[in-house]
Amino acid sequence: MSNISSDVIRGYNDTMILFLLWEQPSYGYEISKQIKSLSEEKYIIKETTLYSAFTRMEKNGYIESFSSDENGGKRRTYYRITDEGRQYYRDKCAEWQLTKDVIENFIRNDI
Amino acid sequence: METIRTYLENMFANLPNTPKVKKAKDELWQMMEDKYNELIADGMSDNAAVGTVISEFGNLDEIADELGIEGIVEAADKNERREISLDEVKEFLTAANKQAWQIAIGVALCIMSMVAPIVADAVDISGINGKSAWVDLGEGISMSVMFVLIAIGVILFIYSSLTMKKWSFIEKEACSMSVATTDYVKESETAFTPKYALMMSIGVALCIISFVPAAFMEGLDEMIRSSIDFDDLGGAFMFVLVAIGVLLIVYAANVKGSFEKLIKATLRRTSTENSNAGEDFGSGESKGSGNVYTYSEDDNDGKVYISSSAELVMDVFWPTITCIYLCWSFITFDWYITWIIWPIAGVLHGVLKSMLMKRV
Repeated sequence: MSNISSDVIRGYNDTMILFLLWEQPSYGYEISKQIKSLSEEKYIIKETTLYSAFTRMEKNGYIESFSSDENGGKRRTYYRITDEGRQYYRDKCAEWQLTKDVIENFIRNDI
Repeated sequence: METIRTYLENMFANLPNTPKVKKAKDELWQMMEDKYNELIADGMSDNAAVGTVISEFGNLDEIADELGIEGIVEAADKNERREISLDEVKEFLTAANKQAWQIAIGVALCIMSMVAPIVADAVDISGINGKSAWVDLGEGISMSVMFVLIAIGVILFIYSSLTMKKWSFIEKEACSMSVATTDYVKESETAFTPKYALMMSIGVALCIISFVPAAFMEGLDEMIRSSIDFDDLGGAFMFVLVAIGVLLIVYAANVKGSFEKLIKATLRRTSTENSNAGEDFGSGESKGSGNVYTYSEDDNDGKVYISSSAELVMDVFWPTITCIYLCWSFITFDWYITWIIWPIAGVLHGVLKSMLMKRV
């Protein structure tokens, strides 16, 4: 199995995170776990990559952070998607469709 | 788990101690801890779990922008922010401790210098043999002792300030310390806190009870008729007790101050950061190093009062104390004891400040 080049996927980390935040707020490890399982363990996001995405998106107003105590008493930083975040996600989805359509034309399956 | 913590600490050890860096460290730690706990719960061995967590951590370069590290690296290149190394911190704290003793002893000597003339006055030699020459001699010696003590005190002040000149940059320049160094300073401060509390309370207690010997001596004076004026001697005792009390207070306050100076040096803004900050706020878009240190440069180390009435109380605190001091002193004319207001007010001010302020 070939590894995913981090350069290629970097532009879509935001899309994955926003997808996972769409229904309900979540926190760092939960998101990284879901990315791992939804990608069928083909993509494991690094902690620093995830943190970088969080801070960048928070700065751009796509997500908001808040801290919350769990039942166990552990304090975690949670993230929730904003309206701008939802719009950005739609744009990214459209962008991906376009990218996929374009690149698809250049992929040979017969070699 | 300990291995992961150490790994993270090491990754961050050489980064400057800023709120952004701390936030990143805390959150990365949350994620690593969660991942580790779940791997262990899934039945993975400790070694394997630690290995997985560390291999999936990533690279700090990725979050360099978010941490504002690049801006700091540039600032350091331009020598704007002076880096204080761990060795320098240790050297500074040793020097500051020595200086604290010098100043404390100097102040105590100045207070003690008053004892000599009082004793000379109390032990009235003229009463024994009636020779006025002896009186003059006693007076001369006591005055000399007084001035010698004051002179030694002043020499100590000057000497200590000269030896500390080397460290003046800590009080003037914007500095930076690595996370590990900052932790060392904070640990040292915590370690000193019990000693500080003890010295402060003994010091204040000594000042408060300093008049007790004088009160007893007064009684003694009436009981024993001799050439020695016990009443005056009580005054001498008072100065000795006050001197010891003040010595403890001054020493403790100075040592504590040295830790605070270090922390404050890292919160100070460089000149470019000041000008950048203005632009950043103006454009509404904060980026780069300009907004890493958004602390105000006042004495409160980024703290604010919890309410506006609390601020008002603290604003009028010193004027009120001064007013009480003057009223009490002029009404009773007990100047010898009314000064006690100042050390008490000083301690009270500290207590109020810690109660009425919170970190932003």
